[in-house]
Amino acid sequence: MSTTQQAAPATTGRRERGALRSLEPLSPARISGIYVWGALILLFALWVPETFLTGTTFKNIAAGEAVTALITLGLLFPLAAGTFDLSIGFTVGLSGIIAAKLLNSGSSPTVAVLVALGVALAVGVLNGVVVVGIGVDSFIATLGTGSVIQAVTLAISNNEQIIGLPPSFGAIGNNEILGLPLPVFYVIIFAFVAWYALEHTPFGRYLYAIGSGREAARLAGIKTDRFRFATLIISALAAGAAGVVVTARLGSGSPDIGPEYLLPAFAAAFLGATQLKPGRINVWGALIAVYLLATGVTGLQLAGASFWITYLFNGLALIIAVSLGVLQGRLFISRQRRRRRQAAASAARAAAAPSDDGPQPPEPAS
Amino acid sequence: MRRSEERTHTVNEPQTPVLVAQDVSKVFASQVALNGLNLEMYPGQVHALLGENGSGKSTFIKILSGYHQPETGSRVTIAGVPLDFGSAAASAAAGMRFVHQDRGLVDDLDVADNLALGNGFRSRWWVTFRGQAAEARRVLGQFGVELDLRTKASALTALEKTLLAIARALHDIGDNPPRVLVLDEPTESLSKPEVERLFGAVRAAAGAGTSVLYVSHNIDEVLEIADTVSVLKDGNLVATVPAAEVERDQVIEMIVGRELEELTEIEEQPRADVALRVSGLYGELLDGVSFDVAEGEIVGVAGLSGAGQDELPYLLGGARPWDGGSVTLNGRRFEQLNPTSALDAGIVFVSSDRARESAIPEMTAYENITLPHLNHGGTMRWLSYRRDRADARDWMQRTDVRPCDPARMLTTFSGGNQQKVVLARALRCRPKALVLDHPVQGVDIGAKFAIYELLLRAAEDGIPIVVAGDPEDLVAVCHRVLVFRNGRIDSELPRASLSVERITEHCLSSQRNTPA
Repeated sequence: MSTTQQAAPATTGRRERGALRSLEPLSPARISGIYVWGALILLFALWVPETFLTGTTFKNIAAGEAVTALITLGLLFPLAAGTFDLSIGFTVGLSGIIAAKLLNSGSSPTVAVLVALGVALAVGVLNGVVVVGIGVDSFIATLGTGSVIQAVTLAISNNEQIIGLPPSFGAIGNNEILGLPLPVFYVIIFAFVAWYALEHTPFGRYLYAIGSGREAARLAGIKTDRFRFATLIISALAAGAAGVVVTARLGSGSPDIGPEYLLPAFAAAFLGATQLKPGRINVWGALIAVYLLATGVTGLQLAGASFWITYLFNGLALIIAVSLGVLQGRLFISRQRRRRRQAAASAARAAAAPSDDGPQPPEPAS
Repeated sequence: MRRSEERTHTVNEPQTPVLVAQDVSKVFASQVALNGLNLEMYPGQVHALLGENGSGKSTFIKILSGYHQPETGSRVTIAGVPLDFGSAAASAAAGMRFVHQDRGLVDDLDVADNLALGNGFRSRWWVTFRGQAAEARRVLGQFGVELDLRTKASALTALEKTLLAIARALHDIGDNPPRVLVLDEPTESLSKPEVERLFGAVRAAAGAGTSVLYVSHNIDEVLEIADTVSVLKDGNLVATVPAAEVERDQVIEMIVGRELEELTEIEEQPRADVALRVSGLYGELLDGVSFDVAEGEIVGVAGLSGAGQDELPYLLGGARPWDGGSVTLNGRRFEQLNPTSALDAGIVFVSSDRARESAIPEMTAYENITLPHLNHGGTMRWLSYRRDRADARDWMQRTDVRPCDPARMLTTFSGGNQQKVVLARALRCRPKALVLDHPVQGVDIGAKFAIYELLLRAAEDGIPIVVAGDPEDLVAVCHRVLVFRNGRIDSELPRASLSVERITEHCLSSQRNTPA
């Protein structure tokens, strides 16, 4: 439901509202991200046309960000249920290093991938036990498990890169179909699955209900613990898959690859929540945000910005995204108040009209 | 009467009022909470404010304390100086002190620190326990309170907490006593002798020249302690009278109002088959409660807060665990329920806390309505927005939600319509039993009657209903009312003898007989 429609006074005719409704999908209130994205593309196309407007750049953004996109899509599940998973970045690193280690000691790519995903699943279970089973606040709990995971990653890798992975494994991240690298297709498939699950099944509806009112959801008969547990497993598995993909793309396992994905994923998820369905974590909004951020960072790098620009850009994006969410909420509340005041005033007028024989306070009894 | 000897001061000699409220109004959403209240309070007097829940008592206090901003045109002066609304600091500077219902103590801090919190520490730089302790002992001594200063607030009894809060409120402006002390339900959860001790402290404060605003719904206590009584009803001041000149029954009549004499026509229920049987139910407050509800019967539960009637719906709905007992619904026996199994059994529970427990404000009306019964056909099946909305619209029409737009966010509806959405959701579950806690709380009068009507219609369909609520609401819908006391059923009022006065009287008398 869009803000434009809510703002229409109750007396507005049906036709007018219909016209507004047909314009709604293009309203800047809903898809400001698309406009900003377009503006960024235009900006860099004019600024650094010779490097920005190339197939390579396009491919780099599309495939390079596939990893961020996979992590973000997984993260949407716990976030929808009002649960944080700060361990995802570390899970990316762990699953990548485990796959690399196994390949290095002669395992087949299939075994390596399955074991890596199995370890990610174990991370999800661990998070679930601490957050849901014991009842530790998810923010603190996953901050802690993340650190533990990183310790394991460092121990396994001895803080060294693992290079020389077989090309059959690299194919997972580098083979192309129709000129696009495979990871792009992973993202498309996962996005549709996540969209279906989050926005068109009872499962997703329950997650949103848990996220915006956990006690109310529990009293509505929803098994909130079970669902929150499931979301932590989903986010860990998605991070595990992303770890495999990034390792395959790089052709080497690195113990410090994961953590840098944490911030972009959160930034994209929250920025996405200001799009399409303002105030609600959603799949397409998050995807728009992932690629918007990537376009900005890549463009700035091509324009000659320093290496630290990624952190600056992502950090600012996270702050701005959350601020926008807060402001949208405030705008919404003030509109609501105004409408209620109007309603109260008209109700008072209606009540005042026949006031001659209205109820009188009873006489004092003494 | 027993209170006559205390009233030595000031009935005849005219004094200047310390607090004057003129035309104080407050409107929430579309509901008038306070309608042009005029009130004068005099130094050294105890002025009681009586009224039911929602009568405007707490709204007035919250305006005084700076929590609510009143409507324009409202005026309050303290000692002749107009009060700056909407600021707690201004209220404090004007010489007002508040002891709220929750006492406002920090559980994890000890007595000395809680005292210091209110009044600042003795020294700014180097806080020593000894310095604080001396100060604390002096303060508590003024009120004849002896407390171990190292005791954490959480370990104090209800009386000690209240006395500590009052002591803290009273002593902190140095040698000048505060002009106005507001006590909100100070005797809640106190036994009779404890109430007497508390009254001693209140009289001491009034004796020092402080004007006390005493908010309560316990009529007997009010008549004992107060000099003046003001009664509020639906935001209007019914009357302000000297306490010595009214009788208890007159006050009840003022509180309840007259229009309630006319009852909705409810036929005496021919006791059909028992549909819901509660046997020996134990909870945190409930202490072995047994009763039957017949098909299509509406049973009300009443009592003072803490008597157990408020816990009953939570237990029946599976929201809180039982400590024992069983519930039998249409022949199926349950020894424990959780929200999911209660719903599966057909027991639908509606909490009184709409924003936190019964609805999800940030979701649309249709999402709220369809939430408990979404997954016929599996958790991963395709949800059709169109079908859900059509389904929800149908239920919104039956419950007369206005506007009938399922895609609106719940928060954009008025309180009454939000509550109708909640009821639409409950009815859509096809309940075999309905359990409601204060279903018309915070709802405007029009929606109130609509909700009564919905409950009566549900009962006509044969659904057994258990409802906790204010006496007024119970009289409007119930076939029978059970009055609770100390976690047990104290008395049962059949329809024929049901009136707001009788329910109120039974609730109160059940407390007065409580052994200390």
